Amino acid sequence: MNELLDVWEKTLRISFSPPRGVLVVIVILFVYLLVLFPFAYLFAYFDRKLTADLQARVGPNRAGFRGVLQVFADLVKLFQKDPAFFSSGFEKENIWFHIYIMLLFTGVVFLPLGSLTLLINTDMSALLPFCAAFVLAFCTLLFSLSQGEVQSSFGGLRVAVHVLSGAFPALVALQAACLYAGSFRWSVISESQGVFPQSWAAFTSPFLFISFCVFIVGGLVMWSLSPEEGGFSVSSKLSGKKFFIFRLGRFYGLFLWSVIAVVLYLGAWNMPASLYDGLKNSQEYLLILFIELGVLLAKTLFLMFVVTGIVRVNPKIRVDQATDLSWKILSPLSLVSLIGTVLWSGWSYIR
Amino acid sequence: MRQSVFQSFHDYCRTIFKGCNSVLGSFFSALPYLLKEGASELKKEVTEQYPDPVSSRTAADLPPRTKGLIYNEIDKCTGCKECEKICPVNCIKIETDSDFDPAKLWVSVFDVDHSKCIFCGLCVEVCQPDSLFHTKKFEFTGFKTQDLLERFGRGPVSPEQKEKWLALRKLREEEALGL
Amino acid sequence: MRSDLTKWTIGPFLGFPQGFSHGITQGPIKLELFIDGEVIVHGTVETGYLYRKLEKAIRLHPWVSTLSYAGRLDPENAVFGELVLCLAVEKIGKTEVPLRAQRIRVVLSELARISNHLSFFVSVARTVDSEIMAQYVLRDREKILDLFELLTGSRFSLGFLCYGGVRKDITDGFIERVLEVCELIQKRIKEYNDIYTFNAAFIKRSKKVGKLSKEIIINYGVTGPNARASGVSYDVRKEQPYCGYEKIDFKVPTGIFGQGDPSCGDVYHRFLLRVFEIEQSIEILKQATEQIPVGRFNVNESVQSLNVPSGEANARVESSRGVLECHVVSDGRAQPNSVQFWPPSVASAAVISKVIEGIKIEDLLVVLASLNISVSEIDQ
Repeated sequence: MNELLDVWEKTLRISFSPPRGVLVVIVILFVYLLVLFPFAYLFAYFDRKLTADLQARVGPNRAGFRGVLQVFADLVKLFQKDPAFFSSGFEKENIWFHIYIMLLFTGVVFLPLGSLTLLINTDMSALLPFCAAFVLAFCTLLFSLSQGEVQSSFGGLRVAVHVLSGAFPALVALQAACLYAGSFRWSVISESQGVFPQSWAAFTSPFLFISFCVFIVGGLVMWSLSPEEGGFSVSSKLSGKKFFIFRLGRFYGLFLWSVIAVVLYLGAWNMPASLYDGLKNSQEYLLILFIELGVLLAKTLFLMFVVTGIVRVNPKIRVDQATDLSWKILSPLSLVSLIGTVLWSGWSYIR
Repeated sequence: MRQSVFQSFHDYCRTIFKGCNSVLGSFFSALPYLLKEGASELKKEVTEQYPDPVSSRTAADLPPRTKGLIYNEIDKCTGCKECEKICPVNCIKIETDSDFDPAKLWVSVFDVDHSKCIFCGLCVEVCQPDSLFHTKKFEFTGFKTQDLLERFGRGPVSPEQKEKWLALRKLREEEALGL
Repeated sequence: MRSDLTKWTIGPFLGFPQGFSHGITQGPIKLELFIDGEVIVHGTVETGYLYRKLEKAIRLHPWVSTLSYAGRLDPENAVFGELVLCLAVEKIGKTEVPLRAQRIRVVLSELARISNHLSFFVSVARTVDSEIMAQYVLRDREKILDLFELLTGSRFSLGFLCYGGVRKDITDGFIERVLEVCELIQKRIKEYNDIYTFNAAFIKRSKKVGKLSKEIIINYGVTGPNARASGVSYDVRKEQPYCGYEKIDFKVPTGIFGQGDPSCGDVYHRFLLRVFEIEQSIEILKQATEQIPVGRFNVNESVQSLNVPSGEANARVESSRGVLECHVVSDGRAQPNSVQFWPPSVASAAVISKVIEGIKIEDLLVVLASLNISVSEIDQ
């Protein structure tokens, strides 16, 4: 981490050396202002357009050129809204709601967004997002249960069930990928893969491809049934500006998941080694940062599009069917992929 | 009856394969909508922006039988009250008075309450002098229900007017007698 | 009744206090559920929130105006309400309806049937969160509504039929438009099947859910597609033909799934049966449009020259939800003495409390949507 911050100090060309904490804040701010917010905006816009296209509609077309400003307009409208709810719904706030918000916004430190923003790059860092997901789900559960209504408690329980059932196969799949890379450290995982698709982890062995699919579907099971589920759950009460945060949480979850999938399986942020060395020798750190971000985010956007497209076309399955899917199909497959990867790596080692 | 292990395994794999196949198949069936931009068969706008002079349909595009708001040509109207009788929701209110011409009626009040109207078209069909008809106008809003009340009547006949008419009529009659 | 069950009241009004955000029942309805975890042990239905005094209102108005009220019995398919009243009154007056008018009525009612089945697809698709299917179907249903608008001037409550025929003749090019729409819908049905009907996720959601056995159907008197999906073959169009249905060659899709099928009569079968019914309706439309003869379209000269003698008659039609029955009593006055409707949704709503026993809460909306209930019809 110290090396990383040294690099940032050089990049920012600050004459005096600021305290390390300030630098960390700068990095986090950078990630927020230049990555998360614009990306959330872009994704919200493209998602609406994609959904509209799939549904034979036009989608947003008024605000700005082809409706580019629609998301901004929605945001403005959201803040004008009255936080008025139905008779006795989510008027009660409690501590879990605030913990949820805090966690959501600090969760960015786990995100692997390039070699220069790896604030937490330890031997366990690939497992940290899971912890974050668990705690987010736990907060949603407790928050829903604290409302003391039938359907909000259903919603909360469903979120918990989904996260639990989706996490197991995803964790095993993650193990397979990290086994291939040799570490849970983000930098090692990215270095183990190449620039072009044939050297990406997902395409090196069939087992890793299975594990990639399991990771994606497991993530869908974990995140698709956040409080936004229609009809009889929490969602009917989650309108208004305060509880917009839950929808943001869903986007964040999907984004986090796609980023991690790209880093683990689809070649991370790698660019050609000659280019990287050249830039590093001439100390163009900002350029490195942006190229890496561009590569990573392009892949992520593509993955998110494919996944949301498939999700939008297909009907949703029931909670018990989703848990069935992840326990009976995804979990065995993930175990198969783990064992297969062990054998595959062992075989190539022996040879 | 227990299945053999291989049979169960085979069934299990088939279930997975069929599920994946169907889920991806649905996606690929819907994909042409995404890719064929502007293909006339698939790409069709469903929701049109309503108050939009460019793309939305105007009243001229509506079919000829469109039942829009009711309009009454008061000059043709005879005040026979057939429409008032037949209206299923009693949204037409007519009051008549004696006209200058004794064969005709002076339609002083002809109110159509469009907030009640169900646009069934019965009043238009029974109208003998063809004074009542559906326009193609369909935009009619107001802040109060009173705004939706449309008045076609000529207004009440004032007593002076009545006296005037009476005098005129007498004059005519006398002229006729005199001739 | 177990005492440890949670009681949960839903409805009656949209979103308040906790109600349907889906418009699947097309009206307010109140459910009282007793739930054990996620499973509904038993529940009761309460209707009556949309009572409009329809029968009284009909009695207060002249004969011609009653048709407007009959059309409001079920706004979704206004044709059937008007048609059944027309048939009953024509029975009293012993009126011979011209063949041309009969054919136009057949065309209109089959179009309404297709439109209603398409909106059924929409509501089922919405309950399983498949917005894409809902949008496709709504797009195609729009074409049928356009046809209605072209012919009658209204899109929803037509007000087109009258005693002794139809109010206006068909316009030029209407038949061609109808055939065009038939072709389009036939093509689209294939697309829906690819995307939705044979989708594994949809089959998972709808198979073996909300089963209605043949006994329940017969005991509760459920009719229409819901009954036919469970293997009870009854269709008024075949049993007591009206409007010249006897001259049209069509099949009533029943028992296509096999009587021995243990899942017979579940949500999926109710869905599939309507797909088949749409195909049959298209078949009927093609034959009916061929057979439209030249001639009068109405026995009466104008709307007013209507004289209903005293008498009593009963008529039945096969509406898109089931058998719609109407009983008319006339005493020779300008207003009817009594007009009573027996709508099909009453039986379908009565069966709710039976069908929701033992299903999961998430399936509740799917099952309700699959029964295709119109509350406006029940409450009158």
